[in-house]
Amino acid sequence: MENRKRILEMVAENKITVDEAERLLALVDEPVESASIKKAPKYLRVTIKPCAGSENTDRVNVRVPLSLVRAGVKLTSLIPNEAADKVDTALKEKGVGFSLKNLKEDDLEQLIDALSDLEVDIEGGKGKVNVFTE
Amino acid sequence: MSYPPLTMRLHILNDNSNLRFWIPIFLLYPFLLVLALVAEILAIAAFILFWPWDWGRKLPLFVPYISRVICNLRNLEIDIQSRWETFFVSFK
Repeated sequence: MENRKRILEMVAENKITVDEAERLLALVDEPVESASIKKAPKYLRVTIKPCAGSENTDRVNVRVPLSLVRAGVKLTSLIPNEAADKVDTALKEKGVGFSLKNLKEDDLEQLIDALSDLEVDIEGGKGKVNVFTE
Repeated sequence: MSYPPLTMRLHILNDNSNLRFWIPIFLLYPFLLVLALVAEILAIAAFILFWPWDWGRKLPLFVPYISRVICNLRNLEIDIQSRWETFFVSFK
């Protein structure tokens, strides 16, 4: 409102022409562009596609609501310590250096924030893995 | 507030079968609600008995946390296709 008034005052004072005022008013009326307001991502997407020329035709397309991921992380806090230890040991045996006990909601939010700004692309001989949020 | 999914689509295709289901899971919710209430009462009873242990204190949280997971299943979609098999599940 303040901006519109100022533009009209500038016209009245002959500082700008009517055409210029019209353009400025149009800009003032324009809604704030969606790019400037970052929309919070809703889904985590994981896709696996075969590489061009590869014999492999396996395709995976997974869309997980981030709210489900958050609820799942909350649920892990209920896993008894003994069970979490067993899971961690089993993961370690498979070569995954990940601890369930270290999974915190704050870390997850940081991860989601980071993923909203970047896409993870892994391209191997057989296929291309793509992880991103949308 | 998120609402639980109402339907589930399931498609399993392999050499032996071609199954396509559209399951109105909202029909299960009245039973699940009763089950959740009974489970919560049992969880509170167990909490009173086992509160000195760490896991005992967490027992009453199981039902609300699992309900939260079920409510957030809406829009989950898993589509896995290989040359011989297809597995697709989605919650709407």
